[in-house]
Amino acid sequence: MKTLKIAFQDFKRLIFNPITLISLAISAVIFISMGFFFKPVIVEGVSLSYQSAASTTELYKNFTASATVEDSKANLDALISENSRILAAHRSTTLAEEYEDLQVNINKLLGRIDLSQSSSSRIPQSTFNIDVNTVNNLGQFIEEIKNYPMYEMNFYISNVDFKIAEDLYAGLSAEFYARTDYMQAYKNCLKYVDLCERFDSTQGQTLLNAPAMNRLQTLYVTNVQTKLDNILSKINELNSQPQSASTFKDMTSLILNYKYQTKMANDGLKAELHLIFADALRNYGNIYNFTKQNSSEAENTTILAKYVLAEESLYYADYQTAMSFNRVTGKISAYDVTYTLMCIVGLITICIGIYFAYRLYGEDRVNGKMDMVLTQNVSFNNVFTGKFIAILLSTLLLLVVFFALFLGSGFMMYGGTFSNILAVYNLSSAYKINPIAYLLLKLACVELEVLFYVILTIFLMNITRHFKIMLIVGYSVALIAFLCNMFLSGIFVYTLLPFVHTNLFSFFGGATSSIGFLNTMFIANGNIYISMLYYLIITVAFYNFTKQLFRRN
Amino acid sequence: MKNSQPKEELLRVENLSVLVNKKFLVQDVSLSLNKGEILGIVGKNSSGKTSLIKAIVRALPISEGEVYFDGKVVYKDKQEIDSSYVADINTALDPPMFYKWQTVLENIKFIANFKTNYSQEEVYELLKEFDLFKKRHTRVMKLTYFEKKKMSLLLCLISSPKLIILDEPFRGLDDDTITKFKHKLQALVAHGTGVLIVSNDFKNMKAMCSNVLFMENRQIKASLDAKEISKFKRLDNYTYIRTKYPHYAAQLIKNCYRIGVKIMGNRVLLMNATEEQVSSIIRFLTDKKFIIYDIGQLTNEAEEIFASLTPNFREEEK
Repeated sequence: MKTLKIAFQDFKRLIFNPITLISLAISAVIFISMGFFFKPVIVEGVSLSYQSAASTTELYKNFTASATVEDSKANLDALISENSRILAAHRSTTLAEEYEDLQVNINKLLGRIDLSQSSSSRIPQSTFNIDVNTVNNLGQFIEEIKNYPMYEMNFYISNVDFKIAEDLYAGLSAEFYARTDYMQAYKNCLKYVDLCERFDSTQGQTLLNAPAMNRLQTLYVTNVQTKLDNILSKINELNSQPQSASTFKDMTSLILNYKYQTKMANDGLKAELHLIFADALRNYGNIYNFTKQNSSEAENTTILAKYVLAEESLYYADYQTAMSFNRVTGKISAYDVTYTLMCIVGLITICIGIYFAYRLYGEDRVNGKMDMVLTQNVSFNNVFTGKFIAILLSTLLLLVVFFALFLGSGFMMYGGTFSNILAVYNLSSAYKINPIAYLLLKLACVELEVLFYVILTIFLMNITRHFKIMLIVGYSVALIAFLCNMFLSGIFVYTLLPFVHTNLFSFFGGATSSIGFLNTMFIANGNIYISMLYYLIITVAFYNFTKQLFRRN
Repeated sequence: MKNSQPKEELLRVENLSVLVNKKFLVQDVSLSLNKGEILGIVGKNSSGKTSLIKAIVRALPISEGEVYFDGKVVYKDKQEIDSSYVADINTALDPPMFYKWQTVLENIKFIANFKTNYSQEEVYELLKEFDLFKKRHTRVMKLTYFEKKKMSLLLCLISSPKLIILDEPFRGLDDDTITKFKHKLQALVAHGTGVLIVSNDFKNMKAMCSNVLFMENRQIKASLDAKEISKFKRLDNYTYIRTKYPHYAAQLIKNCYRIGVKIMGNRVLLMNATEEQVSSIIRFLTDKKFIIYDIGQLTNEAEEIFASLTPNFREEEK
C-alpha cells in the first residue's frame, strides 16, 4: 500500500511534468498533422521502379540509339501459342489423386514435374533474370521476353530443392519485399485457391485439391495470356507510331510491370507449393530436403497461408496497394510512414523512460526528495519499488497515448474501418494472431524495452554522482543499441544481448530477424514469446541487482 | 534487555556506525533520549549530524550498533528487528523538500498519509496557526524557503508522535514563528514526546534542550547536561578579544581592571565589561604591544561552543 502511494505520487509527478506534456503535445501535433496532410497515393499495379531506376536512362539511351526495331508480333504469337501448349500439357498432368504414402506422393509429383519439363523443350533450366543494363535494343529485349512466361512454368523444376522458404525469408530487406510479393501474388492469382486438403496422419497420406490446382492453373494461364495480349497490342501500337520517348517509356513500364507481376505470381506459387509440402511433411521433418523444416515451422507457415488465403475479404487485401513500399511512385509509402512512426514512438518512449529514471533515482537523491520520503514510515523497498512502478505506469500510459495517436493518424490517412487501421499497423508480421492481441504484444515488447533502459539508467546512477553525465551515457547506450540493431544483424554474440530482443527496430535489420538468435521478428515463427521471456528474466535479475547496489550506495 | 532499559527512556542508540562506500558517515555514536526531553546535537557542517538522524529513521543503512525505541530493541546485530517504530517518529530535514508542482495541501496529505492517526482538522488547524491556510492550494514552487520550512515543521507536529526529529529547525525562521513552534513543541514534550534537534545554532538550542551533544568528524566528542548548559546561558553577553597570548593578556586585564575573565582558545572573554572598559582594555593591550586579531560579541555558535569545551576553558571555570 505504501509502495502504491509512493508510486501514485511519483506517477503524477512524471505525467504532469513539462517535458512529458511537451513531448505528448509535439507528438500529437505531428501525428495529427501527418494524418491530416499526408494522403497516400494508391496506384494500381506495381512497377519495378526500385530495380530499374538506376538504369532507366541507360535503357532509354540504348533504345533510342537503336537503328531498327524488329517486328515482334510473329515472335509473340509463337510465344503465346507455345506457351498455351505447354500449359495445357502441364495442366493435364496435374491430376488429383490420393497417394498411398508420403514418399510415393513426392515421387509422383516429381514425376509430373519431369513430364512437364520434357514436354517443353524450350523451357530454360536456369533461373531467368533480365538485366536491363545488358539490353542493347528492343529486339534483344523482346527476345528476352520470349523466355519469360516459360520461366514461370519452370519453377517446379528449378526449385525442387525446397529452399523456397529460405529464399523468401533470407535477409530482412528481402524478407520485407518478399512479403509484399507474397501477398500481391495471392491477390492476383491465389486468393481463391486452397490447394491442399488436410493431411491424414493415420495413414500418412496427403490429399491435393485437384479442382483447386486446376483452377489455379487456369487462372494463371489467363493471367499470362492477358498480359501477353496487352504487350502485343502495345507493341503493335508502338510499331504503328513514330518512335517517341513516351511510348518507349510506356512499353518499358508495361513490360517491367508484367515481369514483376509474374515474378510475384511465381513467388506465390512457390510459396503455395512449399505449403503443400510443409503440410504434408509436418510430421516428417527430415524427409526430402526438409531438414530445416520442423513441424512447428510447417504449422506456422500453414497457418500463415490460411490466414492470408482464408477470406477474400481479409483486411490485408484492402491495403495491399497502398502498401506499395516505394515501388510505384518513388515516394514514401503509407506503410513506410506508419511503421517508421511506430519505431519513433518506441524510441521517444525509451528516451522519456531514461529521463524519468534520472529524475526519480538521480535528481531526487541530490535534492533530498528521496530522503524526505525515506524519513517517513516507509522502507527502502517501498521507495525503490514505488518509483519503479511509477515509471512503469507512466511510460505505459505514454505508449498507449502514442499508439492511440498513431492509430488516429492512420485513420485520418486511410479512412476506413478500425480493422483496416490495425491492418496497416499489423501488416508485415502478424499473420498468426489477432491484430489486437498483436498490438498488445507489441506494446508489451516496447514497455519491456523501456523498462530495461530505465533499470540501466538507475544502474548508471550508482556508478558516479555525476548523474547528468550518466543520463547522457544512458541515452548513448540506447542510441548505440539502435544502430547496432541496424548493422549487426545475425552476429550470434550480439544477438545474446538483452536489448536486442523485443525491439521495434528489427524492421531495419536487427539481430532478432529470422537469421538472428531467437527470431523475434516474426510472430509467425512463434519465437517472440521466448524472446520476451528471456528479456523478462534478464530485466528482473538486473532490477534486483540494481536495487541492492542502490541500497548499498 | 527490556528490564535493563530505564523506565522513561524513549530512544537509545549504542555504538551506531554508518558506513557507505567504505566511508564512515557516522562512527560509533551512542546517545540516549528520555520521554518528555529535548536532546540537541550540535556540530559543524559535515560532522555527521544529519546522517545520524537519517540512520535512526532508517533512511540510511546502519552498519554497526544497536537502536532501542520505547523500550524495544529495533535494530541489533545488523538485523532490523522491528521497523514499525518509524511510524511514531516525525522527522523534518533541512532544507525542506517537497514536490514543487503540487500544492501545499497535496504535499502535506501525501506525507500525512503515512501517519497512522492524523486528521484533516488537525492539519487545517496547524496550517492556520502557521499562516499557511490561505496558501494551501498554492504550488510549493511558489513558496519561499521560509514558508516551506514552516510546512516542514508543521508536518512534525501532526498525529502526536512519540519522537520528533528536527534538522536545523530554526534556520530561516522569524522569531515569531520560532516562538510559536517552540510553544507547540513544549506542549508535546509536556505530554511525553521526545525531541531530537540537530543544529549548529546553539543559541536557540540551549534555551530548549536538556542535553546537548557535540559532534565532530562523525563522532560524539562531548556532551553538556542541563547544568552545564545553564552556564553557557550566562555567556551570551561576553565580549571577546582574540590575541596571540591570551593567558598573559587575561592576567594583565584581571589585575588592572578588576573584572572577571575567561580564556576560550586564543580568546579572552571579558565578563560583564562596559563599553568604556572594553575601549580602555583595547588601548591598554595595544600599548603593551599585544597583537589583537579581532574583537567581538560571543554568539555561541557551535564552533565557539565546541572550542569552549577544550580542557583550558574548563580549568578556567573551575
